[in-house]
Amino acid sequence: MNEEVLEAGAMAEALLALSRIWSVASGVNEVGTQLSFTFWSERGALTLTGYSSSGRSGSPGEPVDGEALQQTLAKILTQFAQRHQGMVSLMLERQQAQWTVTYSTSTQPRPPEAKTLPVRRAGLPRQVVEAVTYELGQCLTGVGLPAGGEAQVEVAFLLEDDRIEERRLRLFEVTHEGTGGTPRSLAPSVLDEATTVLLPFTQGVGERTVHLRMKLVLPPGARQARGWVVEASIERPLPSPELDATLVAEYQAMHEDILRRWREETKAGATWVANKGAEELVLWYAGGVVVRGLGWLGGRVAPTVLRALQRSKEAGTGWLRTTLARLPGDKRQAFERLWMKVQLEGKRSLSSAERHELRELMEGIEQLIRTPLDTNTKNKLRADAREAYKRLHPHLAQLMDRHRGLLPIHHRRQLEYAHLFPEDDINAADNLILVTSEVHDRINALWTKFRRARTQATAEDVERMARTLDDQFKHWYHQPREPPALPYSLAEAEQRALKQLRRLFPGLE
Amino acid sequence: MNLPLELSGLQRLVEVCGRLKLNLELTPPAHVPLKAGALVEGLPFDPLLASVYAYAGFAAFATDVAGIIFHPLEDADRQLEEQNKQWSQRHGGQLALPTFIFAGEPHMAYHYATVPTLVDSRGYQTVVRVDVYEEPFALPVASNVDRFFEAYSRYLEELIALPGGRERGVGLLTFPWDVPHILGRDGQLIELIHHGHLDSLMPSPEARGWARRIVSAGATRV
Repeated sequence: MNEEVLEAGAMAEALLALSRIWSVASGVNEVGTQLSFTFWSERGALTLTGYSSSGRSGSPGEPVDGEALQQTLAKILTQFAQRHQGMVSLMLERQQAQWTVTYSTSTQPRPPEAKTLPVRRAGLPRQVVEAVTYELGQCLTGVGLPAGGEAQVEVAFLLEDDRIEERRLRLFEVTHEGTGGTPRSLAPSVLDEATTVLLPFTQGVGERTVHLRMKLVLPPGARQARGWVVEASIERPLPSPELDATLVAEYQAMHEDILRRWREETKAGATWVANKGAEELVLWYAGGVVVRGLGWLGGRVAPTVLRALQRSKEAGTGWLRTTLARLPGDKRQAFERLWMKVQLEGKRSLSSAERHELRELMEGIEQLIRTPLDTNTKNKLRADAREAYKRLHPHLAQLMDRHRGLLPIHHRRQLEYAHLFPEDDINAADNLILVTSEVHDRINALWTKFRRARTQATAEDVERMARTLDDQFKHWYHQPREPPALPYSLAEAEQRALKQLRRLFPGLE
Repeated sequence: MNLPLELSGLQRLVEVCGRLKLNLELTPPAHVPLKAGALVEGLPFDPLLASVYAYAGFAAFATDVAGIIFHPLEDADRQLEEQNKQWSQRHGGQLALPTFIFAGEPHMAYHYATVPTLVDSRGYQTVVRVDVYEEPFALPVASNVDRFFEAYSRYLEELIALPGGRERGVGLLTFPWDVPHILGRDGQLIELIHHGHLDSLMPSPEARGWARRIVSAGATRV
């Protein structure tokens, strides 16, 4: 992202924050009210992380000059807040005919929902505004107060990116009984303020729960209850100890980047993702599955797939890259299409048919990784292994090119046994070895003996076989030519390996 | 390029590599080339291979996306003979028919070989691809060396036309497994498969099933 784009993004962020603050403040008239907005500020991106209001019982003041407040806010946001990386709090206090504004900064760890890059977009998407208005309305339906009563209410919204995944009324407690009688409904201004406060919280990233704590009062003689948001705070999910921190961190950075494009222009964002293809986006898909899990598809879906992806960033992404390469083209496209939709539009965006398709697909992958590879898939995985080896060993890649195509890449644990290790990436770095054709032939000859002696080989058998070969042939691994000054010859290594293998696997010829 | 008429497939492969900007390497022939019918490890040298090696001592095609690399027969490097010597020692008895290897895929244990016992009326030998990763077996790829070049050139065109084909290469579309329809253009090869002349090289049902797809592809063309 260049400076010009960053500046444009920062300006859009400042304008959005300003308009959201003004939306809340313009509805507050009580003199002495204090409003506090806390943002995480980073490279021009402003993510609302907290809100509070107090002193709402004062008498109504005179109309304020909104333009003057907005100019002050614009100055603070662009000249001070956005130049600080960390938390920035803006405190507004309602005077008789104006708002005064102060701000403070603090350095704290970045909250996980914080954006790290600004989004160039004016306003909030219509569908987000509609969703928040509708869901809040549903949440507060039926809430009412008896005359003279007071109550506190708490609503919780589980958000994923800018989508509401769940919402519930967590608390409704009458704190003052009043005179009783038929409960009266809430004034529309209560819903308006709650919506206005909640909306900017949707501009974070990832999963979190926003809690809105509200106070409701029904003064004697009033026809409807009035109320306001006392506090809005974020509850963050605890990091799961099963998840690899590097995978999650890199996934979040990539997801934010994709989400930013999606937010700036939905269609262009989706096209961008589609054009990248799974090969480049493998981290995004792996992280997307790991962070969300598969339980939401119903029951215990594809547990081996989940375990394989959870192991570590390298292991998980490598495993997924290899597994996707094994999928037939239509299944691979379905995987990309469905997980892209889940990540960009949310789990709830899937139709029941799509949810069923994704479940079947994940179960299909679970079965696939436990099925022996067919010959053509082995061809493809060997081709991928060759390229992976060159990327892993760039110094040897140049040498390989000079050897006119000889020097095969060998799988320590043969591809024919990949199904016995469903959680492992068969093309992982520690399974790929460069050898000369002669070494390859000798090793393969021993595997042939093993295959014939152990027609029902177990994972443990294969592991012992691979380790035995490592012990005897390790001096020739990653060596483009016969290494000098070895304690024994290649023919002797073969004989020693054979002797050991006969001990390990009786019947091996 | 002055290639003899019987190497129109090679001509096409060179043209395709140039047009698609794929790696192509050709070196001058040896001063003492192998003559057609000369015995190497007891096997007669294929006449078309003799023509190829009279033109280039070493050839490598499209190694940036997939790749065929010939065993060199140059003044300084006569690996073709050495490779066949080792081949005969290591794998000679493992296949049902004798095979003469002349090329491979880069950094793979896949070999391209002629079958001296399967010849046409001109003495041109059938070409197979031998896989020695597990139990050795061979797949038919062409009725002669020049048809092999032609088929491979068509495969490269198809690969590069695929989205991501140039980036992922053979991992996306394999030769010959994914292209039986291209091999099905070779009528003489279909005859050989149809009459079971290659069955002994393909003990597995998977390989035979695949070979039947070549025959089906040929029938569709007719």
